[in-house]
Amino acid sequence: MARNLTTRVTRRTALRVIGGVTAAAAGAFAGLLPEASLRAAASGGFADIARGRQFVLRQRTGEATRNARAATALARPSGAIARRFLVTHGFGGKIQSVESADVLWSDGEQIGTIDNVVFYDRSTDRYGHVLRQVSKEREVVGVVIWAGAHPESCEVYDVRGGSISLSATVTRSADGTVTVRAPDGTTDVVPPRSAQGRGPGLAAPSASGCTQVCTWECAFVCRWVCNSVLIVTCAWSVLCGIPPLIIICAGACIVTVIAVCGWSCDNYCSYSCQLWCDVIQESAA
Amino acid sequence: MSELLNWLGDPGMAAAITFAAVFAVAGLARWRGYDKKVPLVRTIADWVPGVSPLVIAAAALLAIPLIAILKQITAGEAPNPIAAVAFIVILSVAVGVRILTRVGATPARFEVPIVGALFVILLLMTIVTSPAIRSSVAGILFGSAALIVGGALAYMYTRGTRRTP
Repeated sequence: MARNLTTRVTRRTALRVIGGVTAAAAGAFAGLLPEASLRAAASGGFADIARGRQFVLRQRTGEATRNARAATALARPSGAIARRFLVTHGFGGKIQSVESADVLWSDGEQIGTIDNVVFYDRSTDRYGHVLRQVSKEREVVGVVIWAGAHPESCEVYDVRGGSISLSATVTRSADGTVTVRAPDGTTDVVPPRSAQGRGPGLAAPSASGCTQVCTWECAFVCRWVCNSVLIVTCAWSVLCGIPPLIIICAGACIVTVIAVCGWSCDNYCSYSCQLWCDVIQESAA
Repeated sequence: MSELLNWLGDPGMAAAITFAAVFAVAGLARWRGYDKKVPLVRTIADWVPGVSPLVIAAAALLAIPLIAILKQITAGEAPNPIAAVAFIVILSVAVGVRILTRVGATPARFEVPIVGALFVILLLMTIVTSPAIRSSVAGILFGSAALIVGGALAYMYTRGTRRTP
């Protein structure tokens, strides 16, 4: 099955998918594109999307995890090629930052991982990213270079077969349109997302501060109400019997209440605030 | 400094710290006897019968690292609309039960069993609707909590809720 798919994919399609996914991942990390663009970029090749599953990007925020994954990304053969390429282009300094994420289907099945190791050339104010995507079947390593003065445009390079070559130049217009231009001059234009096609996502950036303000206030009030109402359940800690255990049981119960209230409030507020802020924005437009 | 402000600006952290601060003040007031003069403080200190407000404050502080871990586990997870609606229904019923109990419309002995059952449902719903929680240690924690509270609910029910505090 996999072999059949591989033989059917043309060079142009492969370039389009790799360029699109890499650019979307770079854009998502840089805050330029919402995660829905990942779905749009890859929707031509994944049957699972037709089954109703969605991409979920779970960012890894632990510094030790990100550093370890960055070290792995640069130590692998393709990563080392990408790093040497960046050194020859003026990015000889230390790592500026690392973004790491696990890519999952919305039902929890792991698709792979994405690591974005960022280098900065202070003399030319340019950024160089080493992007490593690993799925069950393959490893894709790319390099993205963009100037600090022109963050809307970047060059995407692809490491393949022990060498690195320009894959596409990606430019994002003010209206959200993304243009992917291949080295042979062919161009793909990814239209901006329509409001109707907008998928839910905790990390989806909002055009205004509505979602952020709404989510903050909603989550704070919701957590307070939920905690104060459900903590009465912990009166059952008397079932633990002797006094020291009562305190431990009550404490553990209250911690669990606060945690589950936290998740539920985040979920509820993210969903309802996105919904209402989208309605407000659409009615204002 | 900016990292600290960002951390404190998170609604989860802000709510947990505020919660801890309020119950800590109520606990200290009870310890020093000031709650007799201030009805609001007395109400807060009596919020959970049989559990000291200082325990609530300490648990709220202990919950902060768990909130941070949960946030990391579920980062990027898409909101679940069914869970959002179910949560609001559960919370509304729990608030209603507490209000009705406070005004004397329903017997006090039903309050803890009903709210406890709603809490168990909420725990199970969280496990079912969050793939990230289900596939992590938080899922085991929530599952265990649901089992323990559910067991306590059944135990109390079989004893006729006579010993409900």
